[in-house]
Amino acid sequence: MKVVIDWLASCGGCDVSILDLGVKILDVIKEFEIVYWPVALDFKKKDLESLDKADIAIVNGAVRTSEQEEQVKLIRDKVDVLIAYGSCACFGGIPGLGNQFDANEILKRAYVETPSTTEGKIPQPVTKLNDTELTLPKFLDKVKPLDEVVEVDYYVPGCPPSASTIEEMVELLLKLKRGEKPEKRVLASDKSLCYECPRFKSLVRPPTINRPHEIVADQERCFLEQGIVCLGFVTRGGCGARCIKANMPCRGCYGKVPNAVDFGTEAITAIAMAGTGEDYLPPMRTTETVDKIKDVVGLIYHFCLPKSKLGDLK
Amino acid sequence: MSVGVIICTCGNTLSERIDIDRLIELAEGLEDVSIVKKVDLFCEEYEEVVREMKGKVDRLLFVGCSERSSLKMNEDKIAQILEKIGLNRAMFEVANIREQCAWVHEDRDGATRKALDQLMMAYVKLRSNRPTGEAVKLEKRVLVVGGGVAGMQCAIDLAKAGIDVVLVEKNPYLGGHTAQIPLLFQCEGWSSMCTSECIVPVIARETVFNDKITIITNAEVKEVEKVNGNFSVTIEQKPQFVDPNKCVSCGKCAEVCPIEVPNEFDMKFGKRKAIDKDFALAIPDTYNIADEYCNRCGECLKVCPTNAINLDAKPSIYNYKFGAVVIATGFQGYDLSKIAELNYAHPDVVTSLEFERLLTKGFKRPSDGKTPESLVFVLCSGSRSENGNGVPYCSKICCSVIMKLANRIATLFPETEITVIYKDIRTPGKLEDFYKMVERKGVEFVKGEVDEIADGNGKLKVTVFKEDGGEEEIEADMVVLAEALIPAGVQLLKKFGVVTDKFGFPIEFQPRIINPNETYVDRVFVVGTAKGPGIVQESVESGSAVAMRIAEMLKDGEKRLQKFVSYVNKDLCSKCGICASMCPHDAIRIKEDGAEVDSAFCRGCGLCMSVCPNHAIQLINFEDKQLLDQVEVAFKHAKEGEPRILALLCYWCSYAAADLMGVKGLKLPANFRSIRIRCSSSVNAGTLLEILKKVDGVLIAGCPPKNCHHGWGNYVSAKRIKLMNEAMKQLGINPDKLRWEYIGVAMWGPLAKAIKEMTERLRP
Repeated sequence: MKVVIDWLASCGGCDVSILDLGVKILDVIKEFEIVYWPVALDFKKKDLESLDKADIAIVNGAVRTSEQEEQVKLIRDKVDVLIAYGSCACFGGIPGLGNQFDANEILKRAYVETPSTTEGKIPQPVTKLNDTELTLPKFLDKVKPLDEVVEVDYYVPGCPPSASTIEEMVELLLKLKRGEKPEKRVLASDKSLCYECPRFKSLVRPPTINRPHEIVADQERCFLEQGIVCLGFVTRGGCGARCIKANMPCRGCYGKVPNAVDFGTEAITAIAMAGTGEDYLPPMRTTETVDKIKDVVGLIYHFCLPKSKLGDLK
Repeated sequence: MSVGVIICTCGNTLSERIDIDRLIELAEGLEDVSIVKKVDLFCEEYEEVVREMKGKVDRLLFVGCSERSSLKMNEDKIAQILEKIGLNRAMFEVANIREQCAWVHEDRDGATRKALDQLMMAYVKLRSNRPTGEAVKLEKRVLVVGGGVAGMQCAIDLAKAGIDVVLVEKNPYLGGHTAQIPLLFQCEGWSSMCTSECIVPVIARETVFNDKITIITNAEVKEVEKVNGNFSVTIEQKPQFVDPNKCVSCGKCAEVCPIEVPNEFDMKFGKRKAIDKDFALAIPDTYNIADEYCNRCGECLKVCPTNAINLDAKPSIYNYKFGAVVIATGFQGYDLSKIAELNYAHPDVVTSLEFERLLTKGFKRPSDGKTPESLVFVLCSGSRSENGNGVPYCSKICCSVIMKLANRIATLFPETEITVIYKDIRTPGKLEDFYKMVERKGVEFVKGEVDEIADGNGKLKVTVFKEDGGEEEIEADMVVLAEALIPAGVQLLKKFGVVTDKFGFPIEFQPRIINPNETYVDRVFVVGTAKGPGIVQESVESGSAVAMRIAEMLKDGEKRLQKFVSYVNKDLCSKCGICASMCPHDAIRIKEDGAEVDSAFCRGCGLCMSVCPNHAIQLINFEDKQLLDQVEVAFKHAKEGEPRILALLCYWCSYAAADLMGVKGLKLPANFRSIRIRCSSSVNAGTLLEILKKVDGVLIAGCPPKNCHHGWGNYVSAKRIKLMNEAMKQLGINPDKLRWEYIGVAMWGPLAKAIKEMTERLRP
C-alpha cells in the first residue's frame, strides 16, 4: 500500500511525532510503502505529480498559502483515504490564531512593524528582478483546516498526536489495508480528557483564576479547582493526559468533545465559574476574576480558531 | 397530543391593543390543537372553562397575563387548575400577552405581531413539555444536630406534630451554652431575665420524656450521604460507660473517684472527677466518664448501687435515614489568643462566657482569688474588626450581655470601679433598658479601642486609644472580653453540602426574607445561633418555626417533584464533575458511570446544564432544544427591518422586571421578545451562540448582585457574557449583540433602557 505523508502550514513537529512510534515504525515500513515524505527525503512537487496513484495520505499542517491549497487538492486526487494529522490539519491549530487578522495585517506586522525590522517590505506574489520574474505562493486571507479545502476521511488530532493515538492510526492503516473502512472518524475518545485524568477533584468551583506563573500547581489536584484554566473538560481525551502528567494544564489540542457546540464558547461557560466571594464586592467588581485572562481568544481557541462558530457570527 | 388553548382578553382590555381574532385564527390552525377557547376573564371563569376541556386535552396553553407577576392567575394557580382536570401540573405554558405585550406596546400592529410570536413560542415549547416525575418518598424522621435550646425546641415541636426525631448532641448533656449562662434575657420593655436553671431542665425534660425523640448524647455525625431524596446519616456515639437508664445520680462514684479533672462546663474555673456529672441539673440525668482522664482503677464500680458502670463500653454506630435535617450546632467564642493586644493568656483576662461561669463560683479573680476592686469590660473583642484580626461583623448580643454582667457586679459589689471600653453600644430593641440601667449605676464608658493589656504589679494596665485621639490608661484587677461569636458547626454544614458565607454561617435560601432558616440544600434547616448570633429566646423561636416548616414538608411522606429537574445522559457524561461543583444545592453526585442528579434535591436552576460542555445534563422542561425551538419561531411575525432583540430573563427577578415595565406603563418598541429562563446562568454559552445566529441581539438579565436565587448564577452569567464579549471584540464581532444586565424586580426602568439601547445600536 502506498502512503503519502506531507506537511502544509505546520511546525514540523507532526512529522517528527511519527518517530514516536519507536521500533514499531519498522512494522509500518514493512506493511506500507512511503512514496512521498518531503520532510524525510528530498521529494519535490513533481514527484507527487508524477505519482499515478497512492492509497492513503497523511497530511499535517493547515492551509495558509495558495501553494498548500494546491498541494492538498493534488494529494486528494491521488489517494483514496486522506487523514488529517495533527491539530493544524484538523482544526487550524496554532497558525489558525492568525485568523483574528487578515493577511495584510499579518504581513505588515511580520515584515514591517516588528521592532527588529528596518525598511520593511511586504513580500509580493510576483517580483521582477532585472528580467527575471520571481514568484511566491499567495498568502491566503485565512488559515483553513484541511476539511475546508478537501474532503477528509479521518482525523488524528493532537499537537502533535500522542504515541498512543499514532498507534491507533497505525491500526487504522492496517484495517484500511485489509479493505475495512472503520466508522470512527476521529481517532480520539468521545469522552473528555477529564474522564481519563488522574487528578483528584473536590468538586468545588475555582476560587479564582491563577495565571500559570502565579502559583506552583499541585500535581495531584484538578487544575481547574486550583484556579488554573485547564480545558480538559471540553477536550476529547485519548492523548493519555500527557500534559497533565507533566503538570501542565490542557490547552485543547484534541479538539472539542463531540456534542459541544463550539470549543471556545463551551470553554467560556465553565471558566466563568471561577471566583467566589462576589457577594462581598461592590457590583462593579463582581466580574473581575475573569479579567485575569488577558487573551480570551488565544486561550479558548488555542488550536481551533478557524473552526470557531463564534467567529462565524461576523 | 391534544392541546387546549385559552385566550383571555382580560375583560376585553387586551382586544383594544391586540387583534385577538388573529391569535384565535393562528391557534386554530396549529397541529394538535383541539380546543381554542376565548374568554374574557379566565381568572373568574376558569372552573367552567376547564371543565369543558377535561378529558379532551393533555396540555394547556394559556394566552393572557403573566404567570410570574399576574396578581390573579399565576403559575401556581394554573398548576392547581391543571390538577383539577387531571392533568400533570407541568403540562402548561403561558404566552404573556398582557404585561409584556399589550401593556408595553402602543402600536397595535406591532403588538399583534408580537402576540402571535409569543403564542407560537409557548406552543412549540409546550409540545415537548414532559410531566413531572414521580413523587419521591421521604422518611418521616428528622435529624436534629445540637441539643441546645434551639435544637430541643425544634425536636419537641416536630415530635408534637407526629414526626420522629433523632437528636444528636456532642456533650453528655442537653442545653448547650444556654445551660452555662445563669441568667437569660427575656424580651420585655424593661430589663427582665429568667434563670437557665429553670429554663433548661424544663425544656430538656420535655425533650427526654417525648417518646418520639431519640436522644444520642456524646455523639457526632460522622457521614452523610444523600440517597433518593433522603439523608442517610451515620452517627457515632462515644462509649457510654455509665448506663443512663440505671444511673440514679447518687454521686457515690464521684466521691471515690481519685482523679480530678477540669470541668469544661465551667470553662476553666471548675473541677470535676473523671466520673461525674457536668452540672447538677444536667439532663439526661446521669453521670459520665471523661474517658481521656479515667485510669480504669475501678473504684467507682465497687460503690455503684445499680451496677450502672461498664468500663469496657465501646463506641456505638447508628445509621438512620432522614427526610429533613436541622442544624442547631450553635456558636463558639472567637479564639482571642489570636489578638495579641488583648493578652488573653493572662489568668485575669477572661471572656464573657468564662465570666458567667466564674461568677457562679463567686466574684473572685482567677490569679489570686481576691475580689476585684476594679473591672474592665472590653466590647467588640474580635467583633467588627477592620484589620482581619477577628471578624468584621457585629456579634449582636455581646453589648447586651456585658450590660447584664456589669449591672450584676454594680448591684452586688457596688464598690467595684467598672469601666466599659466600647466602639458603639448596641443593645437592640427591648434590651436597651439594660444599658440605661448600667448608665444610671455610674459605670464608666470609654469610647475607643484597646491598644494593650499589660501586666503590671498585680494589676492589669489597659491602654485605650480613644476616639477623640487621646490615649488613656485604665488600671484593672480583672478584664472581661466580650468575645466575638463564630459558628461551631462549619464542618457539619460541609457534610450536608450547605453553602456558607466566608465565616461559616449558612447562607439562607433566596429570597431569604421569606425563607428564613432554610439553607440552599433542600430540607436542611439551620436554627439558633448556628445561623448567626442571637439571644436564647430567638433560638427557641427559630426552632419552633422550622419545626412547622418541616412538619408541612413531611406530612405526606413524599416530595412532589418540580416542573424543572435536571437529568444526565450518562453516555455523554465524562465525569468532569463541573456540574456538581456548580450546583448550589448539592444535588449532584459523581458516580462510577457518570454524574447523577438526586431529583428531590434539585431546585431546577439549570446551573449544571449551563456548564456541561458536552450537553450531557439537561433540565426537564427547559432543554436546549426547547429553547432553540422557541427562538426559531420568536420573530416569525416581526416587522422586517427592525433588529430582533431576544431578552433571556431569569425566572424570578428579571422576568418580573419585564412584567413591571408593562405594569408601570413604560412603552417600548415591539421588536423584542422575551423568554423566561431558569437562573440567568441556565443557558449554556454554546446554546447562546446558536441563539445568536438566529437573532440580532441577545440580552441576558439576572438577579442583582447579592440576590441570586441560586447563589452564584448571576455572577457566573455576568462573567460568561464578559468573556464572550471580549472574544467577540477580538474576533471583530459587534459585542453589542450580546449584553448582560443585573436586573432586579424593581429595575423595570434600566431593563427598558437596555432594550431600547440595543434596538438603537443594532438597527441595520
